[in-house]
Amino acid sequence: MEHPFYDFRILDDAFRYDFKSVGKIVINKTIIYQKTSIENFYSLSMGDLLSDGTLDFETRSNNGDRDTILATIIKTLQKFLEQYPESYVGFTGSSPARTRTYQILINKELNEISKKFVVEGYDSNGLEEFTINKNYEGFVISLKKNTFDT
Amino acid sequence: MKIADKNTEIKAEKKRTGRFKSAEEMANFKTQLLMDSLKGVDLSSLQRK
Repeated sequence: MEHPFYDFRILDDAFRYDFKSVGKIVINKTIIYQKTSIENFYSLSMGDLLSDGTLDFETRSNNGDRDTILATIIKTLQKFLEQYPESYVGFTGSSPARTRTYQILINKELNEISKKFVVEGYDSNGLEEFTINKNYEGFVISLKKNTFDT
Repeated sequence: MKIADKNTEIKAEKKRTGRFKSAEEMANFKTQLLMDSLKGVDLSSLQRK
């Protein structure tokens, strides 16, 4: 990833990553990788840590640093998959618009992301290698088999 | 479940619960959302290239 990214704290055996989004304002963010009922399959979620201790994952921060946040998510994916290389990470948006945003971001960065990761998309027809400009209901990312062999 | 239905469900849930009280609670909710979206999807093709 060529974009700058935020330093993050790795917590909970690399299942949680905390960082500060520094744009128009400073927002504390957290990224969680959580085990699912499917073997080696984890969900990815990110939310804003609010001053009252609660979390919100739906707020559109519009903090002017979307690319830096995306680069940070990719870095945490790399860390997580280094720690748990057999894992798959899935995510979907909390609304069609949010899923579409994820899709646009993946479209934009696919060349860079696919150097290290396998990117797949799914819809009601099944799971397939991510195709640019095709609409999906969610996404699955895993490590390319030979990423750490060299 | 269609995304639009899930979205309606999320909004109803958030109206009921407000914000998430912990990172774990948020992750649980997002995981459930993911698993709902994966219902009926054949994941047997998941293979590292």
